[in-house]
Amino acid sequence: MTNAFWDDIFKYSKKKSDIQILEDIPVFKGLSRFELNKVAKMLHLRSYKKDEYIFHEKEPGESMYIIKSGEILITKNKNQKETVISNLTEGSFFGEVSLVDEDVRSANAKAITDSEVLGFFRADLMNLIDRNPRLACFILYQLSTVIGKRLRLQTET
Amino acid sequence: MNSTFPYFTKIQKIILFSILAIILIAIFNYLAELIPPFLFAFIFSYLLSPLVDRLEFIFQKRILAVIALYIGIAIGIIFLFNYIIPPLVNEFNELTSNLPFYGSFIKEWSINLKNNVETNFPIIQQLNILDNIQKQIQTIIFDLAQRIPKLFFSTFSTISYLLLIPVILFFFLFQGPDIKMSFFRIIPNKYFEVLIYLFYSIGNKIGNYLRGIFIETLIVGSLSFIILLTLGANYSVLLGTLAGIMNLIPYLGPVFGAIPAIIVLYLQFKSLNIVLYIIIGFGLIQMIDNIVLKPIIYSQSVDIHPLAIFIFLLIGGMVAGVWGLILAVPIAGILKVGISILAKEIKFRIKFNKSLESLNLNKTPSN
Repeated sequence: MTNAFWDDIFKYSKKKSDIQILEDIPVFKGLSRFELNKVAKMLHLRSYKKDEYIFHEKEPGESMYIIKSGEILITKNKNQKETVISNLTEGSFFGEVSLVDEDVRSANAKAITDSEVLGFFRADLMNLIDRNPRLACFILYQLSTVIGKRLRLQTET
Repeated sequence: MNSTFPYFTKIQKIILFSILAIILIAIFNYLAELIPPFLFAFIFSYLLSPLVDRLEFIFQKRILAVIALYIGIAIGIIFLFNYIIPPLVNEFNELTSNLPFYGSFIKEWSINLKNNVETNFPIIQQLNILDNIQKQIQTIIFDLAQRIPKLFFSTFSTISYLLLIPVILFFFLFQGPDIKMSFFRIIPNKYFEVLIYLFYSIGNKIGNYLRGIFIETLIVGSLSFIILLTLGANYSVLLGTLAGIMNLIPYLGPVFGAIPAIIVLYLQFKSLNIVLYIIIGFGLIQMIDNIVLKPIIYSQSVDIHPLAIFIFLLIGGMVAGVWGLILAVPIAGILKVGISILAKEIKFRIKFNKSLESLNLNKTPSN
């Protein structure tokens, strides 16, 4: 039950706006407020209940997700079991590889608390190339930086 | 569903939804006249939105892009009304007033044919078949002569449409992305990503297909016009337009498009040479269309079986007359593209869900 006297009823106003969240995402680093606003308009806000899957392994991947609130567990199916790879919280992003290749997802993403995520779709990014090539190019460049960094770390360890 | 309507039992939900459905159907029934302008606006917005996207790149703001597009269309319409429509209407009126002349020519020709056949096969005379055929042809020709003007103008002439469609189209173009977003918001999580994928992939293909058809019609029409003009035909604008539109009907369309041109040219010049020229010309256009245009325009071809095309043509003709014939193949193409992508996805999902189930069965509770 909600209790207006004790509950933090001002929680919502304390929450970061979408643009503030985007500012801290490496993929959108260096974009102006004006451009971030344009990006924010293309994001799909979705809310997931506890234990709900955002996507499954081997499903065709179409989008990257940014966690607005809540906690997301990244797992992989190994020997018919789910093994945890990573635990992501607010302000993290996942599934960005799907923005550049059309292959299937390589892991599951599952909400472990009630969560809100922002979805950024490949189709929207491709559409952005027509509408605003400069911005799309910049995002793609930052995206490749992120993926490159991951690749480098992966090979080093 | 449970999360959205937690306070109802299953039966209550069914009753609730059926009442809602009945109300919706009733509303649609009353407002049926309002649907076509929305539908046309939707189709136009589909075709024009890539253009607006590209304009948005130049003007930065979407509203400016839409306004620029409208100004462009307005200039196009002014141009159309000044240079294309008047000759078209003139030629049209001339042709309709001359139609009895063409009718009499066909009658003469059919009487000749009848006499020829009857002297060769006396049995047919007794059965009176040819008289019947002749009568039929006459009624068809006069019927057609009366109907032609209506055919082209009645369908799109309602003034309210002409006023409504641009206004609705404006909002569809300007707020299209926002409308799409709010539409996506109501999709349940489980189907969210799949549906967005389907929406974009089907939309892309259909958009490409429709744009391809439009460009092809334009090119074939103008090529026919140029050939008719160089041959010095009487109603070159009208006949070229007809050939372009008829080209939408596969297999038979080009023939339908060529027959009027052949008749008009033959009666104009009274020589078979010109008929030969026009047949060669139209044949060349068909070659260009099939060898050059189609492979370039339709990057991924929408192959429909010829038999299916004929069935679609029959249905289209039955439901909506000539417009049905013309629109049958585009609609068939849209259905084919949509259904094939959908079927592929459903097939994949069924397999995928099975593998998920097997995973869930083996999953250990500790995790």
